Amino acid sequence: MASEYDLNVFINCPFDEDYTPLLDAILFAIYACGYRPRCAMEADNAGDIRIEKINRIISQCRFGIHDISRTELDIANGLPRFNMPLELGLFLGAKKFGSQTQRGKIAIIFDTEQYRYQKFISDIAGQDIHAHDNHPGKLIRSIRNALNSASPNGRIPGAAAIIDGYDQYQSKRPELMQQLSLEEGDLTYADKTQLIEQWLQFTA
Amino acid sequence: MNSTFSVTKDGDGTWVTRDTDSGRTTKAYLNKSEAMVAARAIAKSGGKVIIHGVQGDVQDVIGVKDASQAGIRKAPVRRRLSSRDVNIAIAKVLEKG
Repeated sequence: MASEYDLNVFINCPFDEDYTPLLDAILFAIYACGYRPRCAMEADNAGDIRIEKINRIISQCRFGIHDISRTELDIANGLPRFNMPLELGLFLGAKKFGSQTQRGKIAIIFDTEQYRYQKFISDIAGQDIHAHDNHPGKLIRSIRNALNSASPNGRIPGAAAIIDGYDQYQSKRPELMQQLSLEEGDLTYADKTQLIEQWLQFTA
Repeated sequence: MNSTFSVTKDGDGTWVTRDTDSGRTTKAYLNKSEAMVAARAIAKSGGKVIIHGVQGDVQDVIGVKDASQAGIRKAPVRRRLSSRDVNIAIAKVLEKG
C-alpha cells in the first residue's frame, strides 16, 4: 500500500492570477491521478519561517512539479524571480543528499520551451525538462504520464479524460465564481483547491 | 447508482423526483416532505439529488460523494468556503448546462 509520502506532490510554480489556468491544470492532473497536492501556500501560519516550511513540505513529498517558466524580470523592480529555481534546488538537494527515501524523489520540471533553461539555469542540464508552451493540456498530459509511470496505485485515467474534465471546469469557472460572489483576486490557494476538489467530487 | 436527480415542484402543485439526465419524472408526491424522504433514499443508495425550492431555486444538494469515495486526496488546507454553498453553486452552474 502506498504511503502518504508516495502520494504527495510538491507544487513549485507561480501563484499569480495570470498563472491560474496552469495552476488549475496542475491541480486537476494531481487529483485525477489519485495524488495529493502540497505547496508552500497551503498553511498561513505567520510563525513559520518560510524556508523551513518549504523544506518540511518537500521532505514529505516523493514528487515535485517545478515550473521555471516565469523567470522574466519583474516590472516593478526590474529583477528576476528566483523562488522557483531555489525550491527546485532544494528538491534536487534532498534527492541527492537525503535518506534512502528522499533519494527516490522524482522531479517533473517544466519550462515554456524545451531548451530555454540553458540560457538561465544551465546546471540542470541532464534533467528531463518538459515544455508546456503555456498550454494547460500539454501540462496535464506530461504530469499524468509522469505520475502514471511511477504510480503505486496501478491504472490512472487517460490524459484526454482529464483534459476534458479540466476544460469543462474552466468553461464553468467564471459562472461558479459569480454564484459564490467571488472575484479572481479573492481566491486563496486553499479556495482554489477546495473548488476543484468539490467539482471533482460532484462530477465523479 | 451514480445518477443525478432533482426534487422540484411541478406545475400541478405536486412535488416530483426527476432523473436530470433523461428529464424523466420518477415519481410524484403530495408534498415536499414526502419527496424529501424519497430523495434521502436515493442519496443513500448512491445517487445525487439537487433540492429545489417552491420558486425553482436550488436550496441544497445531497448525496455528493465524499472525497475518499471520489478518489480525491484532499490538500491539507484550512477551508474558508462553506462546502454546502460550493455544492449549491456547482449544481446551479451545471443545471444551466
